[in-house]
Amino acid sequence: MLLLILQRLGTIIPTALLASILVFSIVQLTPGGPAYAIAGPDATPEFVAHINRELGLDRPLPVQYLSWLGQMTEGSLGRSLVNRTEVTTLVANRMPVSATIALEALILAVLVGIPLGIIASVRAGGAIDGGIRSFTSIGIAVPEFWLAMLAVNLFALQLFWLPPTGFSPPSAGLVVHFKSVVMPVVTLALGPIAIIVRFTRSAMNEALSAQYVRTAWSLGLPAHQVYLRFALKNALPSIITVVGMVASVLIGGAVLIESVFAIPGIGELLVQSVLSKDFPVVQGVTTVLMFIVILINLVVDLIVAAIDPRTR
Amino acid sequence: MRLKQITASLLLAATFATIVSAPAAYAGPDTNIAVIGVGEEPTTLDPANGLSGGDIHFLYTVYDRLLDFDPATLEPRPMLAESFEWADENRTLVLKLRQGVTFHDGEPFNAEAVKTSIEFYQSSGKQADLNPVTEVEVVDEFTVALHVDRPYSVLTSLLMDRGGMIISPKAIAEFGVEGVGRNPAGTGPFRVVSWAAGDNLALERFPDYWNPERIKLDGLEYRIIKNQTTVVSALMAGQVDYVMSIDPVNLPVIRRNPNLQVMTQPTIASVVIAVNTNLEPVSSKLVRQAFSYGIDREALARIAYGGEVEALPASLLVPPSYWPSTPELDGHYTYDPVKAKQLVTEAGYPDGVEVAICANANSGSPAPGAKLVDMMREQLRPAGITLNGEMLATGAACIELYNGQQAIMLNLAGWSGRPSPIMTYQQTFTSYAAYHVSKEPFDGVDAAVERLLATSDPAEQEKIFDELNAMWVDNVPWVSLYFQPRVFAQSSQLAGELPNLMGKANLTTLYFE
Repeated sequence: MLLLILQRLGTIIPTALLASILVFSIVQLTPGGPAYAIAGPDATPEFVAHINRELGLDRPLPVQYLSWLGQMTEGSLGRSLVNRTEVTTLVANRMPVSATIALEALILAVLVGIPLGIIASVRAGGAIDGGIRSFTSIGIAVPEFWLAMLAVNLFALQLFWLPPTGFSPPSAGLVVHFKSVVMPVVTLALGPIAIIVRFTRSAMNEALSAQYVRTAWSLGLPAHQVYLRFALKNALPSIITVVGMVASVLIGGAVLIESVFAIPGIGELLVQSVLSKDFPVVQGVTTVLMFIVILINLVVDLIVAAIDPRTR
Repeated sequence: MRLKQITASLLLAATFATIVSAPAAYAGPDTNIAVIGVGEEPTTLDPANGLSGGDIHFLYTVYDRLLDFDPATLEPRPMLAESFEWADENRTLVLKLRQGVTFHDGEPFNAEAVKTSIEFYQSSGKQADLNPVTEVEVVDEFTVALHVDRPYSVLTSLLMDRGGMIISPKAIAEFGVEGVGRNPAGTGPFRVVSWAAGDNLALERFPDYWNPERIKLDGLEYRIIKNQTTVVSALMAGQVDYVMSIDPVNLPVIRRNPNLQVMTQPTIASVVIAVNTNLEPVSSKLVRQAFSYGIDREALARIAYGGEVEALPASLLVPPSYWPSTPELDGHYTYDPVKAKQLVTEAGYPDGVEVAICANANSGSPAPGAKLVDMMREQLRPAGITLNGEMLATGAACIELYNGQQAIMLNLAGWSGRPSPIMTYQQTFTSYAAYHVSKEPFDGVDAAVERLLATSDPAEQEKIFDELNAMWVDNVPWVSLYFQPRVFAQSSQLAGELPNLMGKANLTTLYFE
C-alpha cells in the first residue's frame, strides 16, 4: 500500500513539469501581453516596454520559466502580474468556493447516479430502463452551459425563485446557500449523473450474470440482498473508479459554470488570467488543479484496493 | 422499505419547495445601497500608480479632485480647489483650496497634503503628465502654486483627472507605492469597506464629506461579473441595480422590461482605424483619403449598435458637441466610392491596392471587429481597395502586432479620449505622439500643438483647434469611424447620474426615487 502511494507521488513531479511547460508555452506564444491588462488597451508602446521590463517579461522565455520554477521550489506560486497579489492568496480565496460546488455536484451525481444505474440494470430491457437510458443520452449530449442558461431564464427570470448569479457560502445560512448553488450544482451534475448511471448499469449487469448470483437466487435469498449484497458489492470497484474520473471532470466543468453564474471560484480566475496572459496565475491554478486530479486518482486507487482484495 | 422511500422523497420535495417558494429579495431602495454590475474590477485604487482608464469611475467615488469639469463641455470647475488662476506668464498656476475638508482616515486636507500627493504622483513613474510641474509651492495653509518649466495649458485639465485626485498623506506614508491601491484614503463621498478580489467591492458613504447634500446613497456595492449575459440576468432579476456597460445585442430584452431603463450618453470616445504611415501603400496620403471616402460610416455605426443606439459618424477625433470640434469639417468624409477610386489611381495604383487590418474577433468592446471588417471589405471593393483582415482574440493582441511594426498597417481600435483635447492631438498626431507608430511628422502639427500649450485663452485655442482639425482631415493620420455613446442600463427606480462627455461614469450623485 505504501509502495503504491510512493509510486503515485513519484509520477506527480514529471507530470506536473510537463504540464507546466505546456501551459507556459501556450500562454507565451499568443500575442497580447499582461501589460495591456495593467495599462489598458490604449497603452503606449513605450509604456508596454516599461512594464515588461519591470515585470521581467523582456527576458528570454526559458529564463522566465526557470525563475518561476525557482520560486515554486521555495513554496511560492509567484505573484499576479496584473494586480500583484500572491497567487497562493488568490487560489486560497477561491478554492473553497469551487470545492464546495464540485463536491456538492459530486454528491448529487453519486446519490442519483448509482441508484438509477441499479434500477436500470434490475429492470434491464424494460420501459424504466429505456427511460433512464434516454435521460443519460441527453445528459451526456447537452452542453452544460446551455442548460445553465435555460435554467437561469426559467427559475431566475420567469419564476423569480432562484438568484441568477452569485455564491453564498454555507456559513451565510443553509437555505441561502442552497438557493445560490442549486442551479450551478444541478447543471454541473447532469453529465456526471449520466456517466455514473451508464457505468453502474453495465457493471451491475455484468455482476448479475455471474455464477455466484445465480447461486444466490437458487438459495432463495430475497431480491434486495441479491442485488445489493452480491451484485453491487462486486460492481463497486468499477463504479468507484468512474466516480473518481467524474470528480476530475467536475473540476474542469466548473470553469464554464462559474462564468455563467458569476461564481468567484477558481475556474473564473483561470479564464480571466488566460485572457490577460497573467501567466503566474495560469500556471499556479493549473498546477494546483493538476495536484488535485492526481490526488483524486490516488484516493480512488486506495479505496478500490481497500474494498477489492484482488487489486492489492 | 417502500414506505421509507416515499417518506424520504416527500421530505426532500418539501425541503426544496420551502427553499424555492420565497421569492428572492435583493438589494435596492430598501437598503439605499446601489448595486453596480461591472465587467472589470479596478486594477488599483491608487490614482498615482494605476494606468487603466477602466479604474477612473471607481476613483471618482473615493477621491475628489482639485478641479471638477462641467459635464457637458468638460471645462474646469471648482472642487477641492475653490478657484485657480494662471500667473507669471502662464508659468504658475495658483490654487485656492477649500477649507474644512477631511480625508477618510481623519487627516485634514490642506496645501501640504496637495504637495505630498502631487509629488507622490510624480515619483510613481507610472504617469508622466505632471512632470512639467517643477515645484509644488505651499504658499499658505490653503494656497498652493504649481510652477511649470514650459508652457503647459493642459495642467488645469490634468487636475480634473488622476493627477488632481488627492491622496491622504498619512496613507502615502503608511502604505506607499505597493499599498495605497488596496488601502485608499481620499476626500471623496464614499470610502472603501471591503474588497474581495474578482468578486465585489463595497463602499459606504463618508460621514464627514464636505458636500453632504450632493450625496443621497448610503453605499455603493460593485459586483464584478465578466460575462455579459450573466450580468444582464442579474439586472433583470433585480440582483444589481445598474450595469456599467451593455452590449447592444442585449438592449431589446432590457427595453421590454418595464422595471429597467436603457441609458445612452454621447462621449468623446470613438472607434478608429490607426494607421502605420510607414508601410506602403498607406504611407500615401491619397490612399488614406481614398480609404476614408471608401467607407460608409453610417452603415458601420448601425451595424455596431444593431440599430439600437444612435452613434455619430466621425471625420474628426473630437465629437461635434465638444468645443474643440470644427462643425464644417465634422461631416467631411461621406461615402463616395467613385472619388475613392479616383484617389487610388491618382496615388499611382491604377490596379488598386491591398491593405491589411487587424481587429478584435470578439463581439465586444470597443467594436464588433469581425462584423465591421466584413462590412468595410465590401464597401471598399468598388474603390479598388482590397481589405485583408487578421482577426485576433483580443484588442491587445492586435495592438501588439501593430506596434511591433509588422505588416499590420491598420488597427481597428478604440480611442477613449483624454481629459484635455490638447493631449488628444499631442498623443496621436504629433511627430512624438505615443500612438503615432511611424513618428512620420505631419506638416505644421507639432508647431500648432506648441501654440496650444502656450496659451490658456479659450478663443485663441479654438482657432488653433480649427487649424489642427483641417490638418487631420487632410492627412488622415487615423481613419475616424464613429463616436461611441456610453450605453448602460439601470433600474427604473435609480436616477441622479449626471451624463458627462468624458464617458466615464460618475456614480456619486445616484439616488433611488
